[in-house]
Amino acid sequence: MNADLFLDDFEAEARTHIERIETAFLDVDALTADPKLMDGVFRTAHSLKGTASFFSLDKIVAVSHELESVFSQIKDGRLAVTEEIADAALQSVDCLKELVDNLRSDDRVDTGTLLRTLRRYSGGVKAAEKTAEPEPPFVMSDPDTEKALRKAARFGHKIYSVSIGYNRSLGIYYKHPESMIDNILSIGTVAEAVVDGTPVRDGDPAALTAKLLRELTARDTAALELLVTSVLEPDLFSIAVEIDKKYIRLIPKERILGDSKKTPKQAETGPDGARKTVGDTEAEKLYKPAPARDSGFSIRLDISAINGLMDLANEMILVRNQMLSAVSGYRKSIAGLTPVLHDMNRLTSEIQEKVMLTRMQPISVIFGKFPRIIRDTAKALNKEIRIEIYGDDVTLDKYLLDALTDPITQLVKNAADHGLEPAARRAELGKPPKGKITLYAHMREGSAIIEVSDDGAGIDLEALKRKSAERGIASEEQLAGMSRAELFGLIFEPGISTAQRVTNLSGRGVGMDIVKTNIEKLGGSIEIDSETDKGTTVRLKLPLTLSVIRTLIVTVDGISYAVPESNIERIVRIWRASPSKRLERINKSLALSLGGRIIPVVTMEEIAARARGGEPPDPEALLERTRKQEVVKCLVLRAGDKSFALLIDDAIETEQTLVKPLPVYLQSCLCYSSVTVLGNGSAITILDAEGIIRLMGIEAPEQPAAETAGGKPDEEGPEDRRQVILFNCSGSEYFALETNEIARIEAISAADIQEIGTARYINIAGETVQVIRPENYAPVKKRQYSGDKLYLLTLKKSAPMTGLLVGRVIDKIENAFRLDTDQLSSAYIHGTSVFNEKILIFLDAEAINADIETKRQKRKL
Amino acid sequence: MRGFSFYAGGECFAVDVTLVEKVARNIPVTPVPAAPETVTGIANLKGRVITILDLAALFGRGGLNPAGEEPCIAAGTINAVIFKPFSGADGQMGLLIDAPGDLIDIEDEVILPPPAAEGEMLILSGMAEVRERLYRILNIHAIINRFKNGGDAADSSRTASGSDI
Repeated sequence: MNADLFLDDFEAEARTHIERIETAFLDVDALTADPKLMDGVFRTAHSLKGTASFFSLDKIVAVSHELESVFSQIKDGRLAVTEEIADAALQSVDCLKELVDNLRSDDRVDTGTLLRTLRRYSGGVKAAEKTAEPEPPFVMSDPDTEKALRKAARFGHKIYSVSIGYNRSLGIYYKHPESMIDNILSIGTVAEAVVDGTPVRDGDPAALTAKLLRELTARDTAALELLVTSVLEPDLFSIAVEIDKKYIRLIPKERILGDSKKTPKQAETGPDGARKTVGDTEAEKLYKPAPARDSGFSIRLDISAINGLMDLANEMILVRNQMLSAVSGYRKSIAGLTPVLHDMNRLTSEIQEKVMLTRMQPISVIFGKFPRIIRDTAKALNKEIRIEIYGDDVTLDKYLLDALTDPITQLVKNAADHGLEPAARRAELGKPPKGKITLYAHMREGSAIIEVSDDGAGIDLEALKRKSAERGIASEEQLAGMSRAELFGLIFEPGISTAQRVTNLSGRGVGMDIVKTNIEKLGGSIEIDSETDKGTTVRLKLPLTLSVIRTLIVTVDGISYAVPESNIERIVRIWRASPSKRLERINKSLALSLGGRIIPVVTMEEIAARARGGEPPDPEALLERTRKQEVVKCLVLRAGDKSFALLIDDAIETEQTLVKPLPVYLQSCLCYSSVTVLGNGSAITILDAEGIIRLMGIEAPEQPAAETAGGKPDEEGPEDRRQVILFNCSGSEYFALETNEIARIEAISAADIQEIGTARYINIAGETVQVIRPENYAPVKKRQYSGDKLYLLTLKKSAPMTGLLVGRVIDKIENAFRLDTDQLSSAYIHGTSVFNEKILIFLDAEAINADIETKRQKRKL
Repeated sequence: MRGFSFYAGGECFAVDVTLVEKVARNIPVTPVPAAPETVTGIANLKGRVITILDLAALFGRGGLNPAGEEPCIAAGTINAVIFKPFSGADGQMGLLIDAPGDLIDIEDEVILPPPAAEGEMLILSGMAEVRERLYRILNIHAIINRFKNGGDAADSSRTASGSDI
């Protein structure tokens, strides 16, 4: 048997175990409060040890064994979970991750120091009595450095390894890097430096210090590792460079002059066994990106490579379509052609989809690292901070995610550093001692919104005004005339943000101008809201440019356009004889009268005329033209509080479209947001509802007219005004489901529904949707569908996506329904109501969702 | 200069061949009604979206097609010479042509300055007579810059905000 095969399984399992331990120790309070949690962690370490020993992974066994012993001490109450213990546990987590990353070559990972640390605790020694003393890590992998060190050692110089967390804004180890370097140079020479894991080297010491200075000046915080040669004794050295002794290690001469072959290997292993060149000091952990969750077998790809692949995949689809039409006449005459074409069809679509998805990643890749960062930051700042994360399943284009990491980190850092007050101040204000930072991501109107908020001191507007006036950014009069939002906007002024500790301004603003520039580079915007002593929220709004969105493809005058689904309110069909929906002329333009609402109507012709500065078409002629049509279709689009109806020929289909930037040649049009290439190979524009509203000067509607549309005022009983979709299932019963419960209506083919186990599924545009029969949830009979053409009403708030299988979608109606709950009883219906002499069964989507979830859980067991 | 020649609106043009990516024949083009007259439409080339420009409109002479008749593009396909994406992904463009010509060598000394009378200097870098035929030499960078600088744009602020992505 090949053990390697099982090794992959082990790896996945081990990662889950390790993560569990990490999560537990990130929240020490919860761990102390709940003994069950500790039990769980103990068992986790135990099972890790068990499986690892099966594979003879001795190092993992050793580490998890020691962990297990430590945990057992804690479990039995002999050891308290102190911060030191948590540190050690997290170090072990890092080490275990490293070991799992290198399962087949773990000899590079050194566990010695870590094991010693752990043993101290597993022996039951009270944590506070001793602190870990890791071996000095140092780097001398470079031949130049090695030579310099050897020379220095032979001349009786001592070699010191200095590892510090440099943090300018906190003033940890010098506010100015130059003074630190001056201090060092006054007593010795820098042989090598490592800034944030990147070595800075140069044969010439002067050039090296210049480089180092440049590196440090460019940063606010850095994990700094220096190899310094000096004649001074350790104590004197520490005093001379003004760095605490515990961050300085004397490197024994023998290690320099000894076996040079051995050194690089040692150099690569850090004190906690991690293959890092930088020591595990307090600040090295500060802002160090946590290891990726599944770094196991991932590769880094340049985004342009994926873009190239995507373009090619799209081209392949086009060629496929051309071939399909070219050979369509031979399908019968060439045996076996049809299945081959079918396969090719499927494969090309799948490739395109997969390539598209490679770019999308959940925002948790950014958010996920913050619990650890916050923990470490909180320790460094001596504050208590907890972090809450919402919406980390929002997926964003990789490109955006990459570009967002730094700004978001900066914002969180600001919130922790400047936003949250020290515990004492919080107590005075009656706030809980633990400061809270919230990260929240969600999608709104085709934009991704990311909020970073804290419940700290807030921004002192008066101080901000004063400072702005002093700096000459705005005059007193200007300031007096500014709105709150505009005043907060001053924070982004470079003059303000670079100022160190603006009085009472809570210092916020370090690097804010840079954050703003970065967000704007992505086409996004940033706004701040703050209230004194309540907290601050920074909201980033990002467009989805270069990412994938769902659009509806429509045709107007024979030309296809894509419309983002997020803008679509509804599709309206206006029959010539319909009384409730009709087109009317109001002054020089058309309007759609829809159930009492008046919605301005625009045509592509008008938009084009306006964009080109030409004469708008005559509305009378247009109205005349629409009167000749049996049915006029229009799309009601909305952006913000404004909506309009766009006349269309047809709505073709919904498609996952890859948004591409708008060519410069079209940027004057205002009505297009971007372009895309459809599956059939045609390049089309994506309409910008907001742009059209601006271009056409559409105003927000006045308060809706009081006239009621469909319903007559009811005289008795409880009633609710609801907008519902009316549909039939397999029988003749009428079902109603509120439109706000429905995500989409999809036309599907019965043949595409697949049965897996006891449930049915269908693949819609790459998404697997569970198909359920509404008949199961209402007291009606379930019959077989005879036709192939069915509809699926996908439910909002269902995850994974669920859809109701429907035979016929009848209408969308809005009415004040009076629900009768006595006639029919089922836990899954709201009740029944009579409408136009028909009985409507109102389904309860929430109850159905809940039922499906329960069944899903059962299946898992 | 090594030139590539083509015919558009009954005239001969030449461009620096090193700027040309390919000659696309019979490619489908989607019209963009709201775009300036100079834009014929957009086309898909290997998954990239390319804006096709109309030379005659760039010269301010109305569409290449006879007045009154809708451009042939609604019916489907066009020929175009596609230029390399040297000005970024959102700036790649092609020119609508009647037919491609040949590769020609144009000696620097035969290149004459463009006629001052025509308002074409902005996008013409010169004229040259090669083998008894007069070629107008196009300055492709100038054509692109005309759009980048908002020359044809009604609202240049938008150009600035959206072009970096």
